[in-house]
Amino acid sequence: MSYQLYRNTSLGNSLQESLDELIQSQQITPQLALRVLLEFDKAINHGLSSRVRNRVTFRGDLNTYRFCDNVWTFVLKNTEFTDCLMKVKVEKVKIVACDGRNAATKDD
Amino acid sequence: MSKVSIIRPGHAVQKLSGQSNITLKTPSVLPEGMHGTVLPTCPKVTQSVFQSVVKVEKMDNCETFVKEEPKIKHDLQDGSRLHISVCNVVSSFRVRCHLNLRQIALESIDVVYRRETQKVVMRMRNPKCTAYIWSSGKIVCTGSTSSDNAKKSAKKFARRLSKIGFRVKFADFRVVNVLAVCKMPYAIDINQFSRANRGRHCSYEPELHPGVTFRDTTTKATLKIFSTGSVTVTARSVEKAKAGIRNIYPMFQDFYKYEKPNLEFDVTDALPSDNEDCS
Repeated sequence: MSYQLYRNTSLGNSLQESLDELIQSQQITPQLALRVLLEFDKAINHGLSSRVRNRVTFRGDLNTYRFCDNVWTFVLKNTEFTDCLMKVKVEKVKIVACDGRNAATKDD
Repeated sequence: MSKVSIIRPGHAVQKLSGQSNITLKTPSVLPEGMHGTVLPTCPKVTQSVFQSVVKVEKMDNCETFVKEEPKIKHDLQDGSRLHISVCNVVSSFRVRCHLNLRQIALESIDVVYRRETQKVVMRMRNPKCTAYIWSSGKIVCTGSTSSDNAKKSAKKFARRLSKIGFRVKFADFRVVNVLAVCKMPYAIDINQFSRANRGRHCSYEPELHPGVTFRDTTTKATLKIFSTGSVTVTARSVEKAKAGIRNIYPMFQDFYKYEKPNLEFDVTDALPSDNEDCS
């Protein structure tokens, strides 16, 4: 079972919306929709870990942190995200980080 | 014959030779028996109490030496003027109720909960303090720099827990352990010191630890004495730690290396590092 963390991204949200539409028009069953979402979890976890080569760095002031159930949660203030092309400044950002290495070995 | 070397960058040039002498660069100018004062060129020396009077003596081999004598001598018996800095106070208290650690970890801030260690580590920035919270309701606070701060931060931790929804009662607060550091006016010959104080209360194992471990029986303080002259002390309370250093201070008198004074009483190199383990 891979992380369901990415269902809340714009890609995951639009997939969920379209699945809802399909269920409403009774073209697929809810069980199938759930199955699709699980496939999506697996695919995006795999894709992000193996296909993405971009690197984004960020720097900011740590406001609070938390570690519970192997998940780190950080709230950063005045954070600047730097890509090779652009810089984005945000006042407040919450970062939720899971252990990627253990999840990868779990899948294998 | 004699050596001139710099002890620390930014400090005055100190002599290190066995005779504690410095060769003057222009010996022939000064006549026999002349007394002169050397004006310190380094500003730090001017501020410090080690302003020295320099006596010029003509030696047999026609070389002139400068002998330094400290103008203001330290009171080597009375340790009341020592600068003792407390760098860690460990305290413990109870909240008289069981705590759901998972709930604390999810709802509070600046927490680390590793289930295998069975405790929550919670930190606070002001006053700077770290609390270890067990589910039994026992809490240990470390990292405070005074007993007042320890109590203040302990109360703040209790308040945080009560805000989450536990029925907290602040009880059994006490300071458990205190770590303080202090610098003696001169470096200490710890070899001689340990030999003179040999016994159960004093141990020096250079292969295990570079300092002498000394137990003060009256205050039950444990002191670690290093050859640089810095002394770290652990005791049950701040008062006992200070009393422990003051008790031992007169005992150093015969073992000082007077040629190596600690000019600034700078305790920063004796302080433990700020990097703490997260778990």
